[in-house]
This record gives sequence, C-alpha cells and structure tokens, in this order.
Amino acid sequence: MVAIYSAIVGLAYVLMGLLEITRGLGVELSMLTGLAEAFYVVGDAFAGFVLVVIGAVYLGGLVVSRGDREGLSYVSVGALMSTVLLALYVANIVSNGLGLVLGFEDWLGWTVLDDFRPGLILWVLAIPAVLVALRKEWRE
Amino acid sequence: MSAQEVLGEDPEIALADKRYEIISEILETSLVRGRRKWSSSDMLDKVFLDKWLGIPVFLSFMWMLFQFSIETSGVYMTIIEEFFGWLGGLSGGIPNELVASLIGDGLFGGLGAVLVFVPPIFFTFLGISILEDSGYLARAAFVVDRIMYKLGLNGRAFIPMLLGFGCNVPAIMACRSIEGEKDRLITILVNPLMSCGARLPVYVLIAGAFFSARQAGSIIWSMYILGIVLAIIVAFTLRRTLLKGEPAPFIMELPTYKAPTFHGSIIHMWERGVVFLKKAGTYLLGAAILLWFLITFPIGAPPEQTYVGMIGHIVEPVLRPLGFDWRIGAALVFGLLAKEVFVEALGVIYAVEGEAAIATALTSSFTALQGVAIMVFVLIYVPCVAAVATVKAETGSWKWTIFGVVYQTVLAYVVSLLVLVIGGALGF
Repeated sequence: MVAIYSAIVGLAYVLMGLLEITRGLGVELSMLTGLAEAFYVVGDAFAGFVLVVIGAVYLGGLVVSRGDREGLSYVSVGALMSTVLLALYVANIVSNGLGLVLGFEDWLGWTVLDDFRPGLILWVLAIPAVLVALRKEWRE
Repeated sequence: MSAQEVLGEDPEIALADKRYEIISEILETSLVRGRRKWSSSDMLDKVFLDKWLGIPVFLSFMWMLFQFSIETSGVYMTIIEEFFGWLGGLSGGIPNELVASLIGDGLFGGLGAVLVFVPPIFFTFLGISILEDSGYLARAAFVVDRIMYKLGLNGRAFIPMLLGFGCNVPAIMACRSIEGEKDRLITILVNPLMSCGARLPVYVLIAGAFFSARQAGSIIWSMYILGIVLAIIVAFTLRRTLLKGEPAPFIMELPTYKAPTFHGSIIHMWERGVVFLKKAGTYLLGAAILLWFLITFPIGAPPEQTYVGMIGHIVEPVLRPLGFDWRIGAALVFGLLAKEVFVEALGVIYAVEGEAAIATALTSSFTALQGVAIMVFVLIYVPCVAAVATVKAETGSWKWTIFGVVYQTVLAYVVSLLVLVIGGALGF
C-alpha cells in the first residue's frame, strides 16, 4: 500500500519537475502542453529540480525493501518537503496579495492564479502522507 | 622470541581483539534483536542522511530558503522604498542645495538604498534560524562531509562555512575549533567565498533589476551554490599544492530534531539581523556621507570627474574586459569597506546623476549576463576590510592574508570573465 502510494505521488512530482525543467530550458513537449497548462507549469528549472527531488524522496520508499517503516520514513519526509514547498507558495501569495491591497503599481494586475505552481496543486496528493507522518502509533 | 614478536602486535590488544571476536560469534547465534519503535529522528535521518538523497535534499531546502527570502519580501521592500521616496520628496524643499543633496542623494539615495534590503536579510536569517533550530543544519554538515572528506577536506570546516552565510568575520574566527593547522588555514582562506549577508543586497538589487521575481530567487540561490562549489575547489587545490596533508576525521554528535518555535526563531533572526541594523546606523551611515562628499566634490564637476569618478576611472581599464564601467569600478572599490556599500555607492552615484532608480539605471547600462558577472565578482573578490583584518588576526601571517586577497581578486576576475564568455557563447 505504501509502495503504491509512493509510486503514484513520486512519479507525479517527478513528471511535473521534468516538465518545469524542460520548459525552463526552452523545450516544449507538445503532447504534454495541456497537462503543463493545467498544473501552471511556468518553466522554472530550479523549482523543477526541487519537484524532482521531492518525487525521488517519495520513490525512495519503493527502493528500500526492508519493511514498511522504512518506506513510511521516505513518505513522511516527502510530505514534509511538500508541505514546506506549499508554505513557500502560500507565503508568496499572501505577500503579493498585500501588494495588491496596498495598491502598488507592480501589483496592480496581479491575481492569485499568477502564483499558482505545480507544487501547490500536487500537495493535495501529499495530504495522506502528511496525515500518516503526524500519526504517532508507529514511532515514539 | 617474545609474544609481541610472534604476534606482531601488543599481546594485550591481540587478546582483547580475540575476546570480542568470540563474543560477536556467540551473539550472532544466540541474540534475537527486537524491533523497537522508530523515533522521529530515526525517520528523518533515514532520508536526510541518505547517501544519494542527502545532498539534493539539502540543495532543495536552500533553494526554498532563498525563494522565501526574495519573493516573499518583495512587497515589504516596496513599502520601505515608497517611504524613502516620500522622504526624498520632502528633502527637495530644503532651501540649501548642498544640504538638500546630502540628505536626498546621500542619505536617502545611499543609505536608503541599503535599508530597502532589510526584509530579505531578515527573512534569510529567519530561514537559517528555522533550519538551525530544527537540527537539520547539523545533518547538512554531516552529509556534505562525505564529499569533503573524499576531496581531502576536513568536514568540521563546514560549520564555520555555514556561519559565513551570516557574516564572514565570526565565521573565520570560528575556525579556531578546527584541529590541524593546515585544515584551519584552508578553511580560513576559503571562508570568504561563502556568501555573507552583506552581499545579499547586491544580489537582490541586480537579480531584481534584470530578472523577474520568480527567477531572482533562483539566481541568488545559484550565487550561494557557486560560492560553496568554489570554496570546495579552492580548498581541494590548496590541499593538493601549498598545504599538503590528510584531513582530520570529522566526529560530531547530531542534535535531536525539534520543531522550531516561532518565538525562538524570531529571536535568533533578530539577533543576526540587528547586527545589520547597527551597521546601517553607524558604519553605513558614515560611508553614505563620505560617498556623497566624494561624488559631490569638486563642486560643479560632472559625476565622472568627481573624486568618486576619479577612483572609478583608475580601475576602469582593468575592468573594461568585463564590461564594467567607472561606476561599477568605484562601487567595487568602496565595497571593500563593506559589501553593502557597493549598493550605497551605486545609489549615491545614480542619485546625483538624477536616476530615479538604481535598477532602471543598471538595466539601461548593462545586459543581464553582465549583471550576473557583477554578482559573481562581488561574490568572489576581496571581502570587506573587517574580514581581511580577521584573517590576519587568526592566521598571524601577512603572507597568507595577502595571498588570500590576491587569489580572491584574481579568481573573481577569471570566473566573471568565464561567465561572460561561456554565457555569450550560449546565447545569453
């Protein structure tokens, strides 16, 4: 169960990360354009690297074959990194929202969707991992 | 023949080794290990100390830190900028032209240009405090030690290098904790390559001028990573040439993880950030007044023929291959006082020239690639006078102090030139 979940979430993050990196390098994969638009992929190669790393952490739970608790470690850390990334994007949205409220010129045309990123949307997949990480039954 | 000659070692040691060998054999057949619950530390260390994931995870956290510092602080920087703009408008009403110029161009144009960067500086320190208080930074040192030891470097050097992200002066002093004279000397010599907090205003100014808010954080992150990479390369080179020897092993007790408290992180952020504010109120204020004087006199002379202009023109021929003009040259010279003075100098120069904003002036004079080259030069070249003085105090040697100054300046020039050549060849 942990392995299946790790695989799905990990691959999702890796895929979005690779899309960010390829777009950032100016390479457009026409068959995935719709997916990229749906997930607000903007072509930030560095953000793409971070998404790939988070995906790799989730997928690490597959590679470790010594039992579920090692797999849960990778899933929990993946959840932690996903949540920190979410917090980063939320902080950006709040601060840019303040710029709009204060009426600063650079923020006049800003909307919340301008700051939507794959990491924000993919966190929904990470919710089960976050809930598991917060449970104490399997750790001290 | 004695027992030692027969065994080839101290008999007591040989007996002890044999005893433990037999104990291990008995335990293997008789001991059944229980499955204890994992602690949170075990869970996190499984991944953070992973052989393959450790460093990418560290790089990811560092990127998130800088994205938070730069992108999130944007609106707060604008608030401060608007405030100084309003103050500048008030100073225009002062009847005495010279006093109006001192206050408007010198203080608001110069010191104000630096104080705008208070939000990203404090946000950076907040992020570092959270990473430190959580116990993660110690793991980062442990993970990086794997690579450093293979390169012949002392892993303990990473702690002072991490301190260098705040300020190089206490970081160089922290090298006292390193055993081994050569290890300590190498760490002192490469520590200035760690991007200190004083360089952050330079990066934010230039990255903010040439790149979008989304890209600026990544560009600044690249500067920090470049500093770390160069520090490792220089340390490796020194280890193989001038300071040959083996590094001492790195033994460190990892602290337990704990959730950082909001109160604690704010206090740690404030302790670091207030150093910048004190510096701004004293050192940088004095530098702004000095700069205003040097850019204003001789009275009536165009900016390039004032004292600042003269200083800038002296170094301009050397910097011309990098595309830097006399303004950048002068700012680099004054940046020796403190890296923030680089921004202050540009602020005063462009204010006296009547430029509304430094960023606008920079983008009209330089390309984005040249902007990156400027950041790279600022990253690598001679640290501030205080850091040079600390190197002299800690090494007790003029030879190594001068060596440090020379190699950093040459390295800055070479790497900046490479950035321009390679970037130009790649079409940037």
